[in-house]
Amino acid sequence: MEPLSLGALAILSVMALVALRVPVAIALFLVAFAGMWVSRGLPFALIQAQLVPFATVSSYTFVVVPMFILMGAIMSSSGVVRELYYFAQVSLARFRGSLYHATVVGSTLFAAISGSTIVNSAMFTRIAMPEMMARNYNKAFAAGCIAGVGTLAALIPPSLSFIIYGILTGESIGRLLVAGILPGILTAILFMTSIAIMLRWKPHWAPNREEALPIREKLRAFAAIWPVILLIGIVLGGIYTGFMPPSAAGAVGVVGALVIALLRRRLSAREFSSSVESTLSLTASLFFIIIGGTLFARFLLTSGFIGDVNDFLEANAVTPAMFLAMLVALYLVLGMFVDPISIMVMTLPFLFPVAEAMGIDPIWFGVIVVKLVEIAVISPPVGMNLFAVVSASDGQVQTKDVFVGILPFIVAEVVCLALIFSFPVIATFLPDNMG
Amino acid sequence: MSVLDSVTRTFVFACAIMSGVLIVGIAALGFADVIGYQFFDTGVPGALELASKGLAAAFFLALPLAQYRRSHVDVDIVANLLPEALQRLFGYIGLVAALAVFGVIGWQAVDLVTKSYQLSESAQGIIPFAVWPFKTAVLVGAIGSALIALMQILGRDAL
Repeated sequence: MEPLSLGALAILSVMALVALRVPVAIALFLVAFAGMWVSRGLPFALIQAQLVPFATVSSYTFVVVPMFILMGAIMSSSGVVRELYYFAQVSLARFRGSLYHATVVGSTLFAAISGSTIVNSAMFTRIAMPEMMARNYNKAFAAGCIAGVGTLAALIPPSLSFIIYGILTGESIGRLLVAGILPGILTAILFMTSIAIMLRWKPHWAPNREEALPIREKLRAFAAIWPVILLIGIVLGGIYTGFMPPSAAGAVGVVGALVIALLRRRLSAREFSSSVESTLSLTASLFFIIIGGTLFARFLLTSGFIGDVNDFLEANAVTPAMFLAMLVALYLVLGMFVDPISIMVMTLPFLFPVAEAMGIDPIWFGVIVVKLVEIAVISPPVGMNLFAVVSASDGQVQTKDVFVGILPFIVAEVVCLALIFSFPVIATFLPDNMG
Repeated sequence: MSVLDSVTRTFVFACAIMSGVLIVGIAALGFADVIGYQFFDTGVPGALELASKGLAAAFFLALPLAQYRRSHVDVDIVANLLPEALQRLFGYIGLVAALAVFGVIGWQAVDLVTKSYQLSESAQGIIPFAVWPFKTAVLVGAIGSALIALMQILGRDAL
C-alpha cells in the first residue's frame, strides 16, 4: 500500500476507534502498531512497542506535567479559588455586572495555578454561579461567562495544552508557556469588553450595582491571596528569566503550594493524598496518550506518509494561508467531539511537520493551535466546557442556557484569534525577549 | 467483595502509593536542586537522571489505577446516542483493545527488563545507578493493567 493511503487509512482508523469509545491512547497505540507491522514488519513493530513507552516518559522535560497538576490540585484543595474570586469581586465592585468581571479576573488568576480548562470551569460554576443567581444575574449569560473564561487555563501558564504541544513537537516548553501570557491577557480583556457591551445593551442582565467596599476590606481580601500571587510570580518569573527550567519551576510550585496550604491550615492528610491521587490518575492518562501519539508519529514518519504529504502539498501549491484555513476547519469540527489534548496528540504528528516545512513560526503555530482547541471546547453543540458547567451546576443550569450564553464569548474568542493571526507579535513578543 | 477483587484493589493501591511517593519525591528533589544551585552553587548530584527515571516508574505504576478507575480519556459522544446494548458492545471493544495493548507492552517489557539487568545498564550522570528497577515498573504496570482489563471483561464491567 502507498504511504499516503496507508497513513490516511491509519488516521481514519484512529478516528473510528475513538468514536467506538476505545480510549484515545489505546486507539493510537493499536493503529500505530498495526501500521508498523504492515509497513515495516512485525519485528520492527515489536521493538518499537518495547522501546517507545519507557523512552518517551523517562525524560526530564515530562516532569513538568505532574508537578503543575499537583500544584493546582493542592491549591484547589486549600480553598484558594474562593479567595481569589472574593478578591476580584471586592476589587471590581464599582462596575456594572461586577460578578461577571470578577469571574473573568478570578478565573484568570486561577488559570495561573491550574492548567486544565475543565477544572477551571467546574470550580467557578460551584463558586460564582450561586453568587450570581442570588443577585438575579442572567443565568444563561452567567453560565456562558463561566464556560468561556474556563478556557483561559489553556493559554495562561502553566497550561497543560502548551506543555503537551511542546512535548509532541520538541519546541521549548518555557518559550511556549511564556507565549501564552499576552494572548491570555488579551482574551480576558476581550471577555470583559464583551460583558460591558452586552450589559450596555441588556442592563437587566445585572440588575443591581454592588456596594463599593472600603479599602480596608480590599486589603483584607488581598492579604488572603498574596502568598498565591507571590508563588505565581516566582514560578512564572523563574521560567521567564531563565532562572529555572519549567520542570524545576513546577517542583518549586508544588513545594510552595504545600507550604502555603499548610501555613493556612487548609490541607489535611486526606486532602493531600486525594490531590496526589488525582494527579496520578490524570498524569497516567495524559502520558499514555502521549506514548500512543509518539508511536503514531513514528509510524507516520517511518511509513513515508509525512514526506508524501509534504510532496503532495507542494505539488498542489498549497500556501501557508490555505493550510491554516484547513487547520481552522479541522480543529473546530474535531474540537466539538474530542478533548483538546487528544486532538493535539492525534493531529500534530502530521500537521506540525507540514507547518514546519512551510516555514510557519512553531511558537506562533502553537498559540494558534491552542486557541483553536480553546474555541472548539466552548462551541455548541458539544463543546466540553459547556457540559462541565452544566454538570457542575447540579441542575441549576440547563444545556440550552449555556448554549445561548456562550455566544458573546465565542465572538470575543474569534476576534482574539483574528488579532493573533494579523499581529503574530502578540504571541511571539515575550518568548523572543525572555532570558 | 470477592478475594480476587480484594487482591486487585490491594495491588492497585500498592502501586498507586509507590507512584505517589515517587511523584512527591521528584518534587522534593527538584526543589532541593533549585535551592542547591541558587544558594550553594551545586545541585543535587544525579537529580535530573533520578527524576526522569523515577517519573517513568511513577507513570507505569499509576497505570493500573487509571485502568481500574477507567479514567483513560475516551470520547463518549457518539456512543451515548446509541442503545445501551451497543454501548455495552463498544465498552467491550475498548476493553479488548486495552488488553491487547497492555499485553503487548507487558510482553515486550520482559525483554526490556532482562536486557537491562543482563547488560548492567546504568543511568548516565554524576551518580550512575542501575536502570532495571525502574524498567521493572513497565512490566508491573502493563501486566497489572492487562489483568485488570481482563477482569473487567470477565466481570462484564463494560460500561
